[in-house]
Amino acid sequence: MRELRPRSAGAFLLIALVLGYAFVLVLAPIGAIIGGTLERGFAPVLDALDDPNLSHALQLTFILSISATTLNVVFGVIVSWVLERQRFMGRRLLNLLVDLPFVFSPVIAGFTLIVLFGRGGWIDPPFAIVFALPGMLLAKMFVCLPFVPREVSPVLATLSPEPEQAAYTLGASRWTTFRRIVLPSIWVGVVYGAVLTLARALGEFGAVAVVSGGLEGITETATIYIYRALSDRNRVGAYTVSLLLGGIAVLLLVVMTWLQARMNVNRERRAYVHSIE
Amino acid sequence: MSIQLNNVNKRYSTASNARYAVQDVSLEVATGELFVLLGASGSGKSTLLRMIAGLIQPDGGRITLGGRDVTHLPPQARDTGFVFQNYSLFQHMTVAQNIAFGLTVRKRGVAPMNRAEREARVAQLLRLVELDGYDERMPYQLSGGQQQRIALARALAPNPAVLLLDEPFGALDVKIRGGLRARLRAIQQELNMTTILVTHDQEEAFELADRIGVIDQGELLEVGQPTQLYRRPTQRFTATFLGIANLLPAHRNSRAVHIGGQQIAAPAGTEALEGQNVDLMFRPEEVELAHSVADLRGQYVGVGVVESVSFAGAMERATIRLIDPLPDGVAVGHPASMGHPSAMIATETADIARHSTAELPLIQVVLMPGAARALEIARGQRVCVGVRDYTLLAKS
Repeated sequence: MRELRPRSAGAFLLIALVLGYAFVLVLAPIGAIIGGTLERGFAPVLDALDDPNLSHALQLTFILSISATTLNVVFGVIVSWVLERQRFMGRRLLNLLVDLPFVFSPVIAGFTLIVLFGRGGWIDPPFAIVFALPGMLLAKMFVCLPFVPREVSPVLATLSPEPEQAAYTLGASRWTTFRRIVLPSIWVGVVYGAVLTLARALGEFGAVAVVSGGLEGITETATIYIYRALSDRNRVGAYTVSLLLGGIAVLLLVVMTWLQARMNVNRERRAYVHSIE
Repeated sequence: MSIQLNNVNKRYSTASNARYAVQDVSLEVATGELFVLLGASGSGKSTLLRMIAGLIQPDGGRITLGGRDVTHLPPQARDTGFVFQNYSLFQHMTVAQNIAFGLTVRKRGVAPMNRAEREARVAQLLRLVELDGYDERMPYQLSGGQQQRIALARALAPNPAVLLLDEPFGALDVKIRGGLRARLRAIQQELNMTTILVTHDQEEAFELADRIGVIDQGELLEVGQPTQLYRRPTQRFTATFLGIANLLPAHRNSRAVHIGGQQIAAPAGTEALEGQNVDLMFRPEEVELAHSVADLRGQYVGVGVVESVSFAGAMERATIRLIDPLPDGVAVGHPASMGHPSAMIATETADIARHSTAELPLIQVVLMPGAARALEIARGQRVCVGVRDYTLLAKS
């Protein structure tokens, strides 16, 4: 829509308000991170990167985040398919449960893991879960559980089940049909959900902080490293890791924008098909 | 291969009540036959078709394909080709990949085709649906009619035992439907493929079917050849669904049919209705109009007044209000003020103006232009009405 001409004072005010809001909340912190990191030039940054705890924290973060994303993509797609293609008792409840991590405080989520799997907890596991990698993985998975189903379900819902039925009558098993007919139609949504999941997993702090114990060089993730660096007055270390995570986040944002354009192309293509019918 | 259904049932239960989508349907379709299931939307015809394909599980009954009981087999094991109204092509695959899909899927007891065999089969099917050279097109580059032809080729590729078509022309332009129907019929006959086609379009059913099954509210009411169902329906629903039906209350005794004071010969095959009140059913094109009873070649049923005449291209349509004899059950003697006598009729036929003309039966007539010109019929005119071909329906 074109703006009104001549612009009223109110419109100017509104635009200024929005720009100010974005600046204070988004641009200023990014600027501060870049500025803070390079305050004393590159040398301190390189020194900070030499810290073995830092590289371990980054490594651990990537391993955990990629594992959590992989598992959540697999289960998330299954959850979506079950929600959209099956009718059963408790379907609505499951639909609701999927959204729970959105509204649940991550700290509480971490705490419940301790209650469940900690020493003297409800379930006594044969190997360490809490204050160890399995618990951290579970915490990350919990926090970003909704992203894949929330991206994939709407795509599946708009997908006609008839091509799947056609595949069945042609002799294709459910798995073959899913792999060759359903997946190619929903992959953009799956990847979009995966990118969101990865972004969220990389930046996760609360749940993992509670469940990991934050042992330096053992269970310390990148965000916990930043938190510790700040309390240790290691400003350069905190800034450096922040900049790295921030940079990755921006990169993921670019990928997401591209994916969204892809989704629109698919939608237009479908619309075109409808228009010539 | 033949298709046999025995007492097939499907209930849909809602929170408040369970209702039959398909109720006790039994049917046998012979090898090579093209059977059309005709019904309005929501009549259960698509549900029945999907149960044959295994896409919906019946609640009861037996489904047999070529002597093999498939009632509890999944769709993968039934060997049916299915064509959907909205084509449902695999949008991310080329035309060739779509057609080859059923050939690349591993099936029990069947050796998978190698690449060369597959390509040959795809080429053969593209020739069959007359879309040679379209191999590498994507579905969205095709028109609706072309997509449906590819969907047909895809369904036929694995050489199924039976072909099931669910409103295959429903989403297409009226203009291209005719050509596609003819092509489908030719392919079906060439392959001698046992086929069930579901439609709500009676014209389509007449054009394609060896036999038609009329289905309403989940029940298969009547099965027969197109001409038989059109000319000699035994059910009121069939009579009215398969075109325009004129219905006059009548009574059949041992030899004749009485319509008011008139009597006409009882049609053959209606002996079961002897001694009953019935409806005389005849089609608009079987009505004959004349200036005197002597000019009629069909059976005279009474005198009517022309209510309307309209030009409809290749023919003319007329509506006649039958005024004499007054059929049984029509009340007479109402003062004119209580009925709705049209001014036109009142002037021409003063003797019936006292009756409530709205209660007198209307007859739909289709006249060839020549006949209409020879008669010089006009609104308000009195005519003698005859019927050439008619049948009787039991009172429901």
